Amino acid sequence: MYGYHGKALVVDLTNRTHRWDAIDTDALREFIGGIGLGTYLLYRYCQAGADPLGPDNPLLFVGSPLVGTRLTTSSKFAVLTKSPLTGFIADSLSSSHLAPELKKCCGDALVIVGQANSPTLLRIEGDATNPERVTVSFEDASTLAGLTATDKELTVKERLGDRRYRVACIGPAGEAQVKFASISNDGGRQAGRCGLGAVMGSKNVLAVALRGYQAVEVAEPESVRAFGKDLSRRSLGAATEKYRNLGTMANVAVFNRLGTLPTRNFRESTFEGAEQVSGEELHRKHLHRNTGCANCTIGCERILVSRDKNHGQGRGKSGVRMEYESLFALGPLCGIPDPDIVIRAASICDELGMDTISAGATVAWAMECFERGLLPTEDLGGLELKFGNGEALLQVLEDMGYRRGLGNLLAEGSRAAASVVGHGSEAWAMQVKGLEMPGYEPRSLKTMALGMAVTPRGACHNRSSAYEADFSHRVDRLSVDERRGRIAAESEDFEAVLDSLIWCKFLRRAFHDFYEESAQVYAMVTGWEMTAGELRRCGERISNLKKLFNIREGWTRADDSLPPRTLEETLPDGVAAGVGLTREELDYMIAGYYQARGWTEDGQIPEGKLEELGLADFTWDTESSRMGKPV
Amino acid sequence: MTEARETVSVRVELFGTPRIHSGTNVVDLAVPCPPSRGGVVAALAGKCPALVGHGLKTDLTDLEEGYVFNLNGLAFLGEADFFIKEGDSLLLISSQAGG
Repeated sequence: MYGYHGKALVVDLTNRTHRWDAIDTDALREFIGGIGLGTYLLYRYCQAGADPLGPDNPLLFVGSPLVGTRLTTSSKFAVLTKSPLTGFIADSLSSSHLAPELKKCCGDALVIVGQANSPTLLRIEGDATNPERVTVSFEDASTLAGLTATDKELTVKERLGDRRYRVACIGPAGEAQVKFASISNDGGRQAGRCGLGAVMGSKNVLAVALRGYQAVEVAEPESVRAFGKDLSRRSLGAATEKYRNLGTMANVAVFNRLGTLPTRNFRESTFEGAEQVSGEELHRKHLHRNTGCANCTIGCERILVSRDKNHGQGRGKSGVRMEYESLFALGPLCGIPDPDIVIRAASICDELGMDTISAGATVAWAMECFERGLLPTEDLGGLELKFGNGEALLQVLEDMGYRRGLGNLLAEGSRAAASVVGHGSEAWAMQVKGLEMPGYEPRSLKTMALGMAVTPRGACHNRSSAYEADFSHRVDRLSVDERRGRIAAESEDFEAVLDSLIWCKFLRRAFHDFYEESAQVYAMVTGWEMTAGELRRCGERISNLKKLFNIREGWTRADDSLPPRTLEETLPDGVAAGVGLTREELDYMIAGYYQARGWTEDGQIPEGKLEELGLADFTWDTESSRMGKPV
Repeated sequence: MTEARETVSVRVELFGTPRIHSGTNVVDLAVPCPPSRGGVVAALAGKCPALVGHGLKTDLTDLEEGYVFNLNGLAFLGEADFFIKEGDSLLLISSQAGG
């Protein structure tokens, strides 16, 4: 077998055992790898109705056929579970050196099941092509408890005495099972969304250390090398210039001008302090260095430093990675124009191990509650949690990470917190399916509004790239028409293939013909014929299986929506002043999306569609959901 | 009888890489009539030579792949619908919106 191992390492924390489960060739071809294969495995290994923080919820780390090929941007892996934040599918990507080690020693996936009874370091070393040479050990991790994510990673490497180990770990927020805790690897890269770190914390696994020996072979190494050389050259063209020069931070000033920069908890769509926290200004005044993931020619990462000398950067750290989403959520969304505060806030989130989007959005919700006099004063300790109060932001982020005082409530996420506070605060909890919204204002980006409403993991800018249509001349972003359903569905399927192979999203415009070239390279790597049409079908299949997982876990039509604020208030400022999005307009687009997908009017997947996609045997039977065939 | 205009005044707002390379946020241009993409690009290159190869094609006929014009913060302009008038603002931005 080329490009794959055809098996997954299954580790049972409860019994301290491990085994190798075969993965069908058909499943590999139909779900590819990464998010796609992970969705297939999640469906199989997660018991229907499992408590997300209980032993029946698996935590999966999944590689891809391209990992280990050295193709640009392909050193990525997916992490999946059932989300404690949403109750639906949780699928995040992370990247860099951990990806090839994962594939070398765990095969196509690492499936962690059960729960350890004490803090554990899961150490895996060996060669998955020869499973007898793989050792799995469950080591005491009590001395790691309470350490920040960076300190955990460094401490594990020191303890193992071998810096070739690659480590995925949680910070204090994961240990405290903060519902939007992240998993960190390779010095601060994050599998950020949906609370994966809380699931790892619930399993009492503080860190996973991986070291592999042998890379899997590819079918046509010379062809892969030649393709990779050409793709690397193309990756340095104008289509990626934004990412190579400013990184994603470049979005702030543009989004502000276009009236799409969510500000003060989505009350406004422009921010008077946008230039101060723009990518251009941060590049000029705070840039420490540029960097990138392993095997990446684009190098989009921007490491920033605060000018505040009282701000320690953490052990072994020389700055904090800054992305647009962190910048928007900890800046404009909370009314913060001070770049030093935003940098410190991002650093706190990274070190405690929290998703910056959900953390910032939940604080923004709390700030609005405070200004409306709705927060219990006994939990505030004198904190003036107003929009624009940077010190209050920093304090409450720390409190969330450690579940102290008001932070304990906010650690549940904005939807759950709003259900406790009540008084109408649900209307400004800016989330979909429980996942806080990214930095794209839906009222002035109508296609993206649909994308965020329907995407299975909740409000998301990565699993749906519907915004691309809005930022082009293809549609009028301020109005609604009948084409949006198909555009949103096609963008989800495209992202599903991208996230399964796995290519970086920033490479997508470097292809002449994405599906054609991706099918060719898949065949070069695996030796299996693949066509562009089949690959498109894989994308549709993966999107449908994600939805099917959610249906199994209780999804209803009402879950595909947007927060009341976006449907009841028009934008007050900027070029989109006066623009809104009515419930009827959203429902119209959702109906078009269901139609484009071939689903029923209430969003269910008909049997015929399941059969067409080869998903007919994905039933609700709890026995089949625990399937796993020993090698 | 109304005298025909020889130029229209437009403002080009720069973002991201073009802003970094040119060192400025805004450029005011007089674009020959009838205004065209090529006319704007050539006028912009005249004021900001640093943008050639960083947003503007080296032959000054159009924008580089990966860049777009937006009109007044509202409509994104395709090749076939480049209609601008006196006092308009053109935003020169990356066509890659992801992040």
